[in-house]
Amino acid sequence: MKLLELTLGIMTAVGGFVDLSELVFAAQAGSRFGYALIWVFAFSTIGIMVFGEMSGRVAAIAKQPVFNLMRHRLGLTLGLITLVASLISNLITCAAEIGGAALILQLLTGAPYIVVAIASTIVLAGSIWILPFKWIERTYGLLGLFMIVFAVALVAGDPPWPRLAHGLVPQVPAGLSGKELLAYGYFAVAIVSAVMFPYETYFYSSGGIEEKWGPKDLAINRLTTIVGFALGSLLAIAILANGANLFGPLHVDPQMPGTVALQVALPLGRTGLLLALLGMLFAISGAGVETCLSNAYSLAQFFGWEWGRYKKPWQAPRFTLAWLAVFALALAIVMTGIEPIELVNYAVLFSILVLPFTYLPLLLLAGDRTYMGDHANGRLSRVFGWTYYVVIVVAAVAALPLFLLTSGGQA
Amino acid sequence: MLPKPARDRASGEPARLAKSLLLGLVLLLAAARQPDASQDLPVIRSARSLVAEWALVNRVTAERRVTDTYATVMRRQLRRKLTKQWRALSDPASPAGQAIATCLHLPDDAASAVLQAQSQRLLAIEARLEAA
Repeated sequence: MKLLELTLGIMTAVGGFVDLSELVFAAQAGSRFGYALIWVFAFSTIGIMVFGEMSGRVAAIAKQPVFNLMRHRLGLTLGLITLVASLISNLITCAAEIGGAALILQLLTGAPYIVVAIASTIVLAGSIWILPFKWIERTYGLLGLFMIVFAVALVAGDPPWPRLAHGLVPQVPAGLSGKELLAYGYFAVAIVSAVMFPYETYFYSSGGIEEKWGPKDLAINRLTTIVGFALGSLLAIAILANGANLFGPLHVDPQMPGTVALQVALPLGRTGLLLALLGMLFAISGAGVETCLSNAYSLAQFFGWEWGRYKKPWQAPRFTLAWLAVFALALAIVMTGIEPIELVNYAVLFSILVLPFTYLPLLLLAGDRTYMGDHANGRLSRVFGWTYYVVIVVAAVAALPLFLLTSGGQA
Repeated sequence: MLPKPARDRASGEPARLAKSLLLGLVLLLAAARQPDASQDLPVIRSARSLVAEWALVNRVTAERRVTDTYATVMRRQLRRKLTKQWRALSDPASPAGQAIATCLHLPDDAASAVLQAQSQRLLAIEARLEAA
């Protein structure tokens, strides 16, 4: 039974790793800079492993979800600012994911965009209403495993493996102009932000509380975050490498999720295309559910409301209203006609600005023996945690100027 | 609930961090400016990719590697985005504007090579602007 739990946990993490922002930034990064940004994916994946593991451990031992910590550690004013910024970041991300899911559904069915956007929002809301937490996570995570077809397409496309492997070495490609260097910097920051989106830890730690984790679950938590995120990151790297291998020579910097699916159609044909579209649909929908619930978790934890999907919707009315309102607002944003890819740019920008405030309280509490006892951060966690924290702060400071200087990576 | 001392001990650090972040941001923003010559560059870059994507869609459609629904919807989405980019140009009568307009006058199932040629034309304009 434990082995089944572990396998499902890992597979869920793999299938749920990629969302719209990773799809877009990975494919564009590969097309524009070849394999030179693979190392940023690898580097940020270790970061999300570190903070994901920490948030799961804190949930299991101190029984504290991230937003509860934030209010206590940052104080009311700064906590409130972080809450508002997180809510905006998650709302924009949720809208982008709903818009992205609608675009994919449109490619599968040919139905009008607005119709599929409304339909997918209703289905997502219905799945949260009906399914218990564990099955919300598993349904989208496991169905997102169709994304493995991108890794198959990479192998079938026979890329230059030594050059691909060299992409794992931190580098700045030679011969870039000043503008291209700035764009490279923006993509690096955007990838860090997309991989380490704050909603991932809000959702993960709240899930730990929902599932009543305790010390016995620490091994599963560690394995899920390390193995699951590592395998999930390989999918994102496969998309980047396909972008370098297939799109770069054609000067295609994918502007739409549908173009990314061509990475699979080129080597594998129609069946590959359908599997890719389905994988993208479930992965993006899963991210939509996670961002929506993250906002409801954040609000409920910050203000001390009843929360949790283990309760019936009417047993936690403010929590239920919160996630329904997030879906309604996200759909309203989609209905304005703004492109999901534009939303992704803003979501990534907002999220990197929020990251330092999300991870600081987590880092402080995970290292505090008063609450964590023997399970407080060891030397390795401390070194990794603070190193990544410095990187996040630098990325947060650089994000907005790079965004403006490069017109969101386009200049 | 967490006891109060935890909050007191750490509350100064985030405030200092917020101030440093804000100061860094202001300094970097002051250095950020958009050169006039490349004002249209992001639009042209995006349009070049959209035309290349359209060429690729038509190629794989001809090779029967994608479904008809996919091809129809992609072409519709690409044309809509390309029209938006054409309207975003500061001068739609510029060489880049003309190249985009040429594409917009093509049928949805235009030959991949024709679209690829327009993408190359936009790429050359993009390179000239980048070098300026």
